[in-house]
Amino acid sequence: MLKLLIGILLAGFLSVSSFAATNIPLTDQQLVDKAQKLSQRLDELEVQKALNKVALSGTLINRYELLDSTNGVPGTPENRNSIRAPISYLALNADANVSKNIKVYSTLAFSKFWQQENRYESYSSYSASETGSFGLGGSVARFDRAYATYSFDRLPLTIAAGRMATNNGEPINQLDGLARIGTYPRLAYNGIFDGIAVIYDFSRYLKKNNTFVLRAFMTPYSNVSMTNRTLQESDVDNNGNGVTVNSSTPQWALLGEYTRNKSSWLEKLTFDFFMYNYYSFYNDGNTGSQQSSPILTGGNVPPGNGSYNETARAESLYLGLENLGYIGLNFDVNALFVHSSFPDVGYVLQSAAYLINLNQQFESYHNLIIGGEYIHTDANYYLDEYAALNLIPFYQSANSHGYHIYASMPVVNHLIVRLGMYHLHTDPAISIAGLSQYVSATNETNSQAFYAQARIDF
Amino acid sequence: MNLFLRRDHGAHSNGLVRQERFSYLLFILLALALTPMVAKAGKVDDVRKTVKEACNLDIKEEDLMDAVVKVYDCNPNSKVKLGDCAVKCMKTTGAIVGGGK
Repeated sequence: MLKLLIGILLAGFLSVSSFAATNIPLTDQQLVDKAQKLSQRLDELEVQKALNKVALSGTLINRYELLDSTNGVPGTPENRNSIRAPISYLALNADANVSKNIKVYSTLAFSKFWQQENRYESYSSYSASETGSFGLGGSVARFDRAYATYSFDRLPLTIAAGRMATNNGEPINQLDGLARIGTYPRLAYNGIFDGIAVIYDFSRYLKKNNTFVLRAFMTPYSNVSMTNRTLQESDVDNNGNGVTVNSSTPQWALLGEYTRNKSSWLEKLTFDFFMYNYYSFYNDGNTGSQQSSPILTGGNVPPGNGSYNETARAESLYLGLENLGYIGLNFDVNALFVHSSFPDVGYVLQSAAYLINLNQQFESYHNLIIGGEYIHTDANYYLDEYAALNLIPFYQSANSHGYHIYASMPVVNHLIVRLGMYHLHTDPAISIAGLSQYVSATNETNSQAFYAQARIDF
Repeated sequence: MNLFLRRDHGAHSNGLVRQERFSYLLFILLALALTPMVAKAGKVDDVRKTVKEACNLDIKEEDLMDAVVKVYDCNPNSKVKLGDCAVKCMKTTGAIVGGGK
């Protein structure tokens, strides 16, 4: 477009100088013809621009992580693991302005360990869905995002439906000095959800520099037979009796976001309140074979091998302070409170966790960012932490505390390099028999990881 | 276009004098230069408004096209420097469902 414009302008200037040099008079008709031709060419450009509705962009990450962990009951020999793993991740976005009101967003991505293929680490179909391409499964791409939005003309109202960008929420973006890159707060859900969302922007009713956006989500879980779409999912209970599972179990979430920009002491204040609820969620267990996973009725199924029903609600709070004192200092804290009940086994669990992030951006030194995170989780803590590339289970381990120190910098335009170190300590905790989500905290674990990653956004 | 036609209608039959011809050519060039601006009016206005809000600065007309390109052809979600003013990259990829603030 720019080249064409320059070409036309050059042509114009050349004709001026040409006329000036040769002094050949142009008739009015010739001028009109010339203008008409140029107008037609511009129309052509306009048409091409109007027809070119799809915008392509993407992210490529190459990462090398060294993870060392020791695990075992205190006083007994420890299991040691040492992982030295390079990984690659690519996401291609194709976003279309279908019309003035309708937009479609899509992302096709993969992640993998180098020279390793066909990995599968999701223990059930719902977690595979939430994981999308982040499971380091191989070079086969998956759609992590495929949703449409409809924006109303007269109201600040948007409706969205499809596979949505619910992962990579705040403060993940802070690690690389980016603006927000995901919807749900990180310490609420870091997974990809399919569903419907209604978003209302109340900012027009607020004073200048204040915004408030309310986002409501309906993201039900589906339980249709894995081999026959006309059948409900089926299972057997501990007595061997066949049972069927509801084909859809409800889940909804609400996210309220308040921001205040440009106050006297900071550039941006963000306060998010997020809550989710789900009812009779059927967890199909840890075996990868739904047909053989019994629903717990008495807690007699070996840990990690059972399926169960769960009802839960959670609240996540996020407070972010950006550019504190206008010196490049950023601080945020994210807390999560979950209340779960497992009616089949009679458990009721409550958990709390918080994640603190503090970093300093040095604008005068190539926007270098140096920062740290601290996490603390209690014994019953649980987070859907599926859409992540790090190997160390820093953000999802129960009964743990740990820190993460990082430094990142845009080396050149579009390329951000980050170096970091994680340390995580997990205390022994009481295992809850049969609940596959909660079996990892029986031993004491110490993990440490160093990593380097290069991220190219284009 | 109507202006040309109107002007042509009232012109002398022997053609325009040289000064008038240059005026026409300048007008054509101006129209050509401005047409892409009109086509990008939404983006231009958005960038102008964003810079005004972020840094209380008015972009010079000669810097406007460069600013629009920089702010839309950038690392999504990053900050873009326009002189002394840093604004958020306005290239969106739907990372926030329903749009972000």
